[in-house]
Amino acid sequence: MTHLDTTTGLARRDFLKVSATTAAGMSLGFFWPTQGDAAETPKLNAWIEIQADDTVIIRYARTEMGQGSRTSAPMLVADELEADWKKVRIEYATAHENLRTKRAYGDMATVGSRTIRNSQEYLRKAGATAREMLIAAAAAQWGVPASECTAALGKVHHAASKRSLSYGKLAAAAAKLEAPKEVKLKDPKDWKIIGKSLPRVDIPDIVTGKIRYGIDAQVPGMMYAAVAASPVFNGKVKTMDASKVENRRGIVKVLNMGEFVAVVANNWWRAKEALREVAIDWETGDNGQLTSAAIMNSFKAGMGQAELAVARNDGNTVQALGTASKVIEAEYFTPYLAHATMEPMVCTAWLQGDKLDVWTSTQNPEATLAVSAATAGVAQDKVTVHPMQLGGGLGRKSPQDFTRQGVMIAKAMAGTPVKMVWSREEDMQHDLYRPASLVRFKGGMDNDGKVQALHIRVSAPSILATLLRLPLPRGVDGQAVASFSDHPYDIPNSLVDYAQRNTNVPVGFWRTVGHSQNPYMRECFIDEMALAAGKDPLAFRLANLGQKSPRDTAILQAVAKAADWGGPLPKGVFRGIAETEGYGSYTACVCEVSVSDKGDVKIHRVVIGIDPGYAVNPDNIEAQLQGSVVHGLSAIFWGEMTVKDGRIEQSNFHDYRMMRLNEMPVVKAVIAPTGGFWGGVGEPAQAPLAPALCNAIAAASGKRVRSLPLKNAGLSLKA
Amino acid sequence: MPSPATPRRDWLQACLGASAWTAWRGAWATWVGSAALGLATVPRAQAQGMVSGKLLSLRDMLDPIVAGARVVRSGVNIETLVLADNGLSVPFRVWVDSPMTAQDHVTDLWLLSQRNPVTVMAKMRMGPHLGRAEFSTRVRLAGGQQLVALARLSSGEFRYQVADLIVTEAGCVDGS
Amino acid sequence: MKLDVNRQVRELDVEPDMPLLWALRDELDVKGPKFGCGVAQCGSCTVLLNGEPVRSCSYPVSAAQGQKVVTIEGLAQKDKLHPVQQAWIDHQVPQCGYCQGGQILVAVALLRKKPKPTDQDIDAAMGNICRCGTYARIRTAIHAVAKKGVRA
Repeated sequence: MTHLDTTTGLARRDFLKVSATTAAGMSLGFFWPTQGDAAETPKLNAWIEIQADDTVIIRYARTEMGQGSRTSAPMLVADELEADWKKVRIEYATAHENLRTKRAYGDMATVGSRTIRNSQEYLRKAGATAREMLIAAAAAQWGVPASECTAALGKVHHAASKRSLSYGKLAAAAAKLEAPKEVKLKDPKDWKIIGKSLPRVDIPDIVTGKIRYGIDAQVPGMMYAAVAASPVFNGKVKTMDASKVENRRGIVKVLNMGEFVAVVANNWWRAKEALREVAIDWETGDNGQLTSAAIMNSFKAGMGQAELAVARNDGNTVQALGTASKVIEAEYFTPYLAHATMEPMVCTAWLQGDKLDVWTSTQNPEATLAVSAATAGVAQDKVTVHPMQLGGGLGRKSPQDFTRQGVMIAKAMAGTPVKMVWSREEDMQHDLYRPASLVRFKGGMDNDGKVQALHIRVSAPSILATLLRLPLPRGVDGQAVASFSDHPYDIPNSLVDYAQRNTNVPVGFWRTVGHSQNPYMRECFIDEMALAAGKDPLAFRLANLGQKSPRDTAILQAVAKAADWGGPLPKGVFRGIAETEGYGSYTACVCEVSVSDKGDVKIHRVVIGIDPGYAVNPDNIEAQLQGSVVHGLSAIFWGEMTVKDGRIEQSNFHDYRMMRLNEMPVVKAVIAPTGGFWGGVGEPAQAPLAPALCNAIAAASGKRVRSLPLKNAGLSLKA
Repeated sequence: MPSPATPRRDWLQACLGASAWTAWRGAWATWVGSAALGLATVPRAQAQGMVSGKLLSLRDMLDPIVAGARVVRSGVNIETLVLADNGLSVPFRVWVDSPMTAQDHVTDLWLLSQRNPVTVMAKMRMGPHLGRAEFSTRVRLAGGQQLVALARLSSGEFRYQVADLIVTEAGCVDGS
Repeated sequence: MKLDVNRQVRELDVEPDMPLLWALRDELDVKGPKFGCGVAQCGSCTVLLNGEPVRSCSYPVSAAQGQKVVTIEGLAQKDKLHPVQQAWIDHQVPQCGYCQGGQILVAVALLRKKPKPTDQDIDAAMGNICRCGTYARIRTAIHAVAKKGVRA
């Protein structure tokens, strides 16, 4: 059972008081709370502590938002360590500890589907190093060569003398040894834990209601804050009149923070209700003019821009298009989308003098620490960011705009802990949206259906330039051209160019980012070319991939085979296929649909596959594939954020529709790891779904949908 | 929303408690090498090489400028954030222990980046007319890395210090 | 007013129209029911009121007086997991888990009424939103409990 003392919401001060009286001899040198009363738990390295009773504590340095990495990442350590998984307990490494140890835990940002692939090497090395030290300690104790000893299931064995010692008995001695400089990592065929569908360690606490999300932080004396920022983007508070609510029951304070208004009360509902009656006059300037139509005009203007950033330029595309036998063109559009994590944005903060405690659901605890310290005006080493489970992340909880608000409120209410919670409306209208994107394709083929030239022009906002304010190499935002500039097809002439068209609508990283929209457009256009060439969509793709991208070819074939592509289907049922890469993995999808005359789309089956190189926890990957289908279908059928009078029109789930259980199609998951590389899982699975579906719809109805969501094309999801 | 630029006053507060400031200022004459004096001074190097970009070695950064002259890691002080949530605008202050007299002063001060596309981020000409060899600025960093402040003295010798900065990665950026 | 929450009598003095959700979470420190939308659209706030699933974000606390309120924390009795909770673990249903307290309670109510629900019964009853998309496993887990024949 995992222990989540850091998530109970106790102030660190309170916890240390408790631990000092209950655990005689417990080392208070440890910065973070640990359950267990070992006087000194030997630390073999930053990641591993082993207790006398053989409990192995493995640290997890990222966040858990349902992607399962809190279980999978420690599996990497445990396997090399040769631990007994039943004795493993997983505890969070914290941002403040990472700071204190000069980043012994490395990067903590849980983004980009990269927890496993970016940390696998140092996690496995940590396990292997500790294993070697334990073996060395046993060998020393027995007076035998270490080479004669083996480790398995939490014990070191010396076969020749039939002696064994458990890790608990060796840990203290092992911790004193010098860590070996070099360790050999296991060959994947020798993995005992990696590759197994081990149950996730946090699920028991979830089903009993014990788990604590950011929104569940509870601190003695805590107040609650409801906030409202200008619904019109870039607006600020001009005047505020709280006289109607100031003396209401439970209302503590109404704060004008310039960019937003906060009502602080002794219950969140009271704060939220009072906020509705605070008269706020927003200074919006010209920002109230923005509309979706104006945004579209801006994107269209970008298409005709004289100067464009070039993301890819192979051969001479313009010339090749001029001489191709068959040329087709199409323009595609994808809309702004909101994240809508089930748990809205929250931040509880408590400023006590020069010390700050923060409880929040964040995908980047280090960023939370840095921004909190700067906002509160305290030293970084005086900030404690308490790890919490996230009620969904989806890329929204990596930027720190909301934690900054929470700490600003805590600073204004210095001494009092305040829990800030965004209403769903606030959350939906103050998101960092998946950018809308207008993309024009022009493809030229020869008489054999081989694509000779492909020109893709993107007119869209830049997340990197506006949110991260990063300089763009050659003016290209990699996300805006993702899956275009790095398409896997063997096309002699490729031109990808980009017109950066930012608007007032703030943009950010929505799950799968550029790959949430670009593969839809690319793989649909590939189908359009296949159709124009009179070729089967699978055969067309295989021919145009050629030998260039074997892994793309492999997953495409694996999924096609699993879906029995080309095999018989009931009358009225049609298939669509798509393939893409992303986040280091390779994915493909086949959808089987029928479409009625009225536009009801019945999805009979979704076959969705991924090659992530290695599959650390296959059951968890299957869950991600299933979940990605739901996440994707909601967006495909209904998802769009529209702008009117400078503000987002949608505000809650009644007008930003989410798929429900009765609409869930049958999903067949294909997990096809080919080994030799490490790819992500949390995001890439969503990528091939939209094109596979729309290709199937085109086959079924003759209707080619070049703009999402489908509801705008008169298509609805039939449960 | 993007993080706001931190006012200098708030940032100084963030980096140092008042007492730490005084203690450290008093200690700068005796401070040598990379002794850690809390957050404000230089932590030991532990750059996380996970962001794209080649990381230069210390030799790569110093040799082109030092060109064989004596170089000692002492007497140069750096004050910056240990952890930056974004590499866009990181506050940075350098000062050199030097009397700044005509006989003994700092002639040049360089800021060198281990990872940025351009290694020499800044170069300042200094002299006794300044009174103090100090400057502060904001730097833009392409990811977590070491920054080196390198000073040439009027004797022809060089002094330097290394700061290790962590820059967290903000978003789901594929491949990096 | 007095509320019966998870078989315990709790006292509170709040406005009668305070939603049950916030009375539970902020006044009584019962954190199981979650806030997802505030307008009875998502169901993360689901509690059982005399065995019936209710979206507590839109249910006034005063109307809960004299009723038996059961939240996810109150489902297991004497450290023994409810069969639905066990099935949720066996089939690894949750991902982020935020909505799952509500999902489990709705499933419990369904199984008590229909110990062997059809897929249509499940479709009709399980209307809560899951943003992580665990619907396939929710269905599997409900069927598994039904197959075991245990009393929900």
